[in-house]
Amino acid sequence: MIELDDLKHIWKDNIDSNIDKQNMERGKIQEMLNRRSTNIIDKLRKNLLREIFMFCFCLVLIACVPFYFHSKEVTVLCIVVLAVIFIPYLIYYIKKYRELKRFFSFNQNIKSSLKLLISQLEKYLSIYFWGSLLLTPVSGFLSGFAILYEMKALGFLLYFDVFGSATLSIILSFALLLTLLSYPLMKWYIRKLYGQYLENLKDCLKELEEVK
Amino acid sequence: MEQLFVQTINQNQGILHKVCRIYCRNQEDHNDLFQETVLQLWKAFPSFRNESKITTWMYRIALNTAISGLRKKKVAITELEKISFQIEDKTTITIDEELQQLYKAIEYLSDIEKSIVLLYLEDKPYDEIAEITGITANYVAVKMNRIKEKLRILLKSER
Repeated sequence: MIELDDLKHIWKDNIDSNIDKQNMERGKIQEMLNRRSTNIIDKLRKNLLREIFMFCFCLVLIACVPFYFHSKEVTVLCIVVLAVIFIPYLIYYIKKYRELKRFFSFNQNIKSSLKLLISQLEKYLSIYFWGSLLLTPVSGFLSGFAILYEMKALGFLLYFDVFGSATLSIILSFALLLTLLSYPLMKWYIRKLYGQYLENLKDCLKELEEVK
Repeated sequence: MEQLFVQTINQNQGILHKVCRIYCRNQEDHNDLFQETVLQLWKAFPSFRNESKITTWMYRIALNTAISGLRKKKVAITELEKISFQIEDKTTITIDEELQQLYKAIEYLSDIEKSIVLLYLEDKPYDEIAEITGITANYVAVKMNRIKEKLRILLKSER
């Protein structure tokens, strides 16, 4: 029976003779360094950057809303949404982005590197999940409100008070329903994106932490 | 620094090729992992402080890159015995065949086991394997015994 030890010398002789011993030119290495990284942290960083751009876009959009509606209530609502949700979240996202940019775990041993990577990935997924979930009722409410307001302005719903408590309750219920529906959807989407990968990393770590 | 980095890569490119050979099943994956590892080594290069051997440091980065890489789905195994492959009943088996059988068997190991096998085949002492993986030298020995047993089943043959 072939044993691993028997194959030690074969491995060394064979692989060493098959490896291209020619020196790689500086240009070839430079070319490699200019390529896009497929590393998970770099991917997360790019995704976060995309989120930041989306947040900025929404922020500008909401900031423009009062100029269109010319209503005191709408202005107050937009300021509250921006101040309570968008601006703190944007600051938090930028902070996370800078943290990911500095993050590098590969110069640690495999076990420590896996621990850091898992914790970073879990943190990111949690931010992504709660961030998206928080934005769902906000966008649902604002969209519902904008549609009703626009319909009234166009001459429909003449006897309808857009700022009435009944209307606001209906829109709020609609926004909450949207959030409830998006909860399992978001869970499924995040799991589909990184779930399996995270499980693989956890399995690797578990293998290293085995005591027996 | 760039000149020194190029020199380091050229002097130790065998390490990168060996890691890629163990973790990748085709040339395309091999090239991708090689490039990614060079990229990660470049990122880590300024922080290398000669606290460990350059080869230990390179193995650490290369194995971390390979293990945490977003690769295609691995071969799923449920029962080791089911997939254990028999070596043809020959009286003489060429070196190349033996190596192919070894690669085939290693494919069925987990990513962590692959890293330990690679370092073992490279004749690294258990202390150095422990330093790279982050487990104790004793546990490396335990793991190594289990891996050998697993490979023995995979390489089951009548020689």
